[in-house]
Amino acid sequence: MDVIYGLAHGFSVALLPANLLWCFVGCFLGTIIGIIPGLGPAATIAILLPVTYNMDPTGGIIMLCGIYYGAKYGGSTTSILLKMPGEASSVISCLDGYEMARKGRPGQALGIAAISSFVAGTVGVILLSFLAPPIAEFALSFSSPEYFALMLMGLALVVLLAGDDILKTILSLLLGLWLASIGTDLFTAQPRFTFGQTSLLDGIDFMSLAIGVFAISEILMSISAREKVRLVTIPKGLRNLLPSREELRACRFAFFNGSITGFIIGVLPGAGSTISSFVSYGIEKAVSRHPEKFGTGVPEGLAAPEGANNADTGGALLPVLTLGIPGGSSTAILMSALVLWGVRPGPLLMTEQPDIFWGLVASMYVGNIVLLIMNLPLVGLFTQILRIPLYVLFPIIIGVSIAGAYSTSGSMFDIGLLIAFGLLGYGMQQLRFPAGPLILGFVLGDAMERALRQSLTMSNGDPLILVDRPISAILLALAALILVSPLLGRLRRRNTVQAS
Amino acid sequence: MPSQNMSPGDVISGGLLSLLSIYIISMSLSWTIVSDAGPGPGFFPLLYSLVMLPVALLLLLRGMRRPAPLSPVADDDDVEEKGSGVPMALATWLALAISVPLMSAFGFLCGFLALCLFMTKVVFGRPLLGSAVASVCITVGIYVVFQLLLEIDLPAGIFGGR
Amino acid sequence: MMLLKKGMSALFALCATFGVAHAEDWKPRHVVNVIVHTGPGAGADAFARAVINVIEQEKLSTARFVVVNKTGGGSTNAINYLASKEGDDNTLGVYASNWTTDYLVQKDATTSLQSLTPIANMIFEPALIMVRADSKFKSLKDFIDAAKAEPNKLKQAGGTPLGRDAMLRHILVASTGAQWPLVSFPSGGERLSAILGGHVDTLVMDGSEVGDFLSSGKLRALAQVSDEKVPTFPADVPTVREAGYDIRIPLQPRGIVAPPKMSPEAADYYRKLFAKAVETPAWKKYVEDTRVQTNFIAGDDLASFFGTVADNTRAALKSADIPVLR
Repeated sequence: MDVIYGLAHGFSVALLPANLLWCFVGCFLGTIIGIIPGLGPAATIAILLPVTYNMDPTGGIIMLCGIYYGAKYGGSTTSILLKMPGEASSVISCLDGYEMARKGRPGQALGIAAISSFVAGTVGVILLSFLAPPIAEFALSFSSPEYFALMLMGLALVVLLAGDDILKTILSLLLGLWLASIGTDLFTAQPRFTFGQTSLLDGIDFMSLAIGVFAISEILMSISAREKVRLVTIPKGLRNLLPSREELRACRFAFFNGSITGFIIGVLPGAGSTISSFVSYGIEKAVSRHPEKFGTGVPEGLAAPEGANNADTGGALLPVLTLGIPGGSSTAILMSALVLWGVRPGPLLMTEQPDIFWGLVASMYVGNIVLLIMNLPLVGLFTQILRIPLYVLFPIIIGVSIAGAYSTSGSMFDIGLLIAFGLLGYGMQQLRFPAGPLILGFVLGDAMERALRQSLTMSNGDPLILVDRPISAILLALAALILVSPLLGRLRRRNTVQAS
Repeated sequence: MPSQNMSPGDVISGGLLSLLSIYIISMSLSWTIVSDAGPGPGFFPLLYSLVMLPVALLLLLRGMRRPAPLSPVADDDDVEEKGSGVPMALATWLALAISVPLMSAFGFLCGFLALCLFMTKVVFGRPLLGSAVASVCITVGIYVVFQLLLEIDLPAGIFGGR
Repeated sequence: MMLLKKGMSALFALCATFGVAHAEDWKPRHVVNVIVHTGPGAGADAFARAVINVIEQEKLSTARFVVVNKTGGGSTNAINYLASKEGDDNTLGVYASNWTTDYLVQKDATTSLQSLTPIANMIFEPALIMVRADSKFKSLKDFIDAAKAEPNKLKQAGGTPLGRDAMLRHILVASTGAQWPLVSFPSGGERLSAILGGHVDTLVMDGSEVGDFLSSGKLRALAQVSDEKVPTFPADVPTVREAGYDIRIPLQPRGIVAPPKMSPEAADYYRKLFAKAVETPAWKKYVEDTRVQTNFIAGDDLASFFGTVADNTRAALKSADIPVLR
């Protein structure tokens, strides 16, 4: 009952005209910076923070949060249309989203991304409003062994990713792990694989890698296929651009999977929305009746990760608001903004400053609706991008990628990396190495190594710590099951062939 | 013909990756693997490179024995008709690579304009006037959006010297 | 609507505002670039933006201060970049403690903090040694005695082995003979959830991170990591020295430096500017909210302070067996 009362109070705050306006401004800005690669929500919030000092705290936090989840809506747009991810959490949407667009269904892909984001984003907020305290406790019970098991499960799901050539999938994954270990070792400050380059000491920037391997290499592929004009025809009229009922029905499980996976992984401070989008994609593929079609433009392969990265918002805000623990860089800045306004996020926030807590939660319900209303009509506009002739579009993609890579670090070296990874991605496509596992290996590699070494440090070197703990043991068993299941499937198929 | 029962791509990539894994192994062994403070920096790279080496060798062997499985993904029919565009793709990449020092030396506008001209004129074979107009428009457009509207600094400043 | 317009105009300001140059005093001409070694939002960046915000709010300068993020190699790219701007009067840098440490341990960090033009140290960031509220350790002595009795049983959550929290551990371990490992987590959030979840036993928490963990009864402070008691910390928590461990406390200073050979007029202008800034109400509010300590040091005093910090850091690194290059 407290929750209902709190929410009612929250809506009375969030629906004030001024706060509604800030919510809209935040969502709008978020969508824009989501579309631009390089400029992420963390940077935008940091830059806008001084502007909001003089604002009413409730309005301010509503706007800054709007930027945070609005960016996740916007991030998928360029992934789908140009294979150029706008945000780290939309990288996996390049796989099936871009293929859908290539098949002449860009509007449907954008529509599915928006609808899935809306559904999962709303589920995330519902879970945040009703389950906050118990789930916060659950998040704290997660320690390094559990994280390691989770990452291992993620890696096992990769073996399912793009699996027509198992050797190349594994090698691509291991290459990703290697790229992830470039840089200064966190534990010992030992530089690894840096080839004497100062700029490599902080490791490789994920967006440079993803944009190089996806966007730049796609341009090179298209040039080497001598594609002078785009072959797909885009239907006219908004009605023909939106997803069909069959496509939405195919995504039913993906909506559920994205919402739950995204929320749970979002709550964990050591994971983040990129990992949750990958894991939900893997789960979607693992339970699918036609896993072999993933990567060729199936709507559920887009709906699951897009849902997950939005459900993640509610999850990631949960430990911030109830415990005062930020999980990622965006939530860390949101929290410092709260502190600067004199709001102390933590266990007392809900009772001591209900205006802020419930006002924010209610504004997120509103914000998700605002984003859906804002994004669906924009589908028509965005698909027009594909009508731009390639000789204009390709230089624009390259220019935007370069500006994005430069903006995060201010170093020419990252542009060099971007271009080098373009060649790597092109080479991999020519030699038929799948790019997805490389990216996933890179995302999980760092977190996985850390979790493993933390666990072994905590246990003074005893590997049993990984299986002693119940959650970690369950996750490891799941990972083993995932690894074995395709083999079992293959055996069963062989048996049936023999039997017939 | 040996190329019929051999897949050169697999041999090359398998070979390169085995070399890489040997490099990773040798580097990891030069760092601490395990200390009393827990696993050291060499621990995890050693772990995955020891998996990488046999898998890469397996790919190498498989490549020598049989041709690459035909995949329907990349090979479109019209590729065969017009001949391979691989040299052009590599030339584009080279132009990209050259544009980076160009940007450092003469600034974003010059470096990027040159890149645009190359892409429109050489890669896409547009008429000179058209490609010049398009290049200028794209360069100025990116400059306006990033530098002026969003206040994001462009690589090496606008005219270089940074 | 007015507020919205103001916000938008700040975001989409089309041109840099040009400050009006007066004849007699030196003033920065246009935009002053403030070099920061982290990405947007991280510690040094947040600090830089807070300082700039104070200057703007209190209208202390006509120039526009713009944060420029130069990441790479910890502080290395930022400090090397600053050194390359020799003689530039319109560039400043925000230093943190790793500007000293990186120079000592990284081969490529060829610029020392002392070779730059010192402008002003602004703050020391004090910290607290924390345990969970239900922990059996009531004092720092309890903890260290337990770590002596059973070496490597207790764990401390931390970040890099070069951070202040790790330094403090090195110094305590070396001076007491107790032994406990540091478990590295990349972000403050992960460290926090590790201690709240009971997966590690202690951590050193920056003042700005303390939030309401003490008042809500989730964590207990064992000691203040500071030379003197910090007014914004609970008064009944002793400093490390008061708790009976007479060690040199590793400091976490933050402040402003400028490229080498900045003109004396410009350096003087900036020193006065920041001296004015720390006296304003906006600054005092910032200090209170983030629980840092104002510690204004300028000019020659700052140069010798850099020297002391470098010496102390070198000694601490050596005691932790971390190879020191310079």
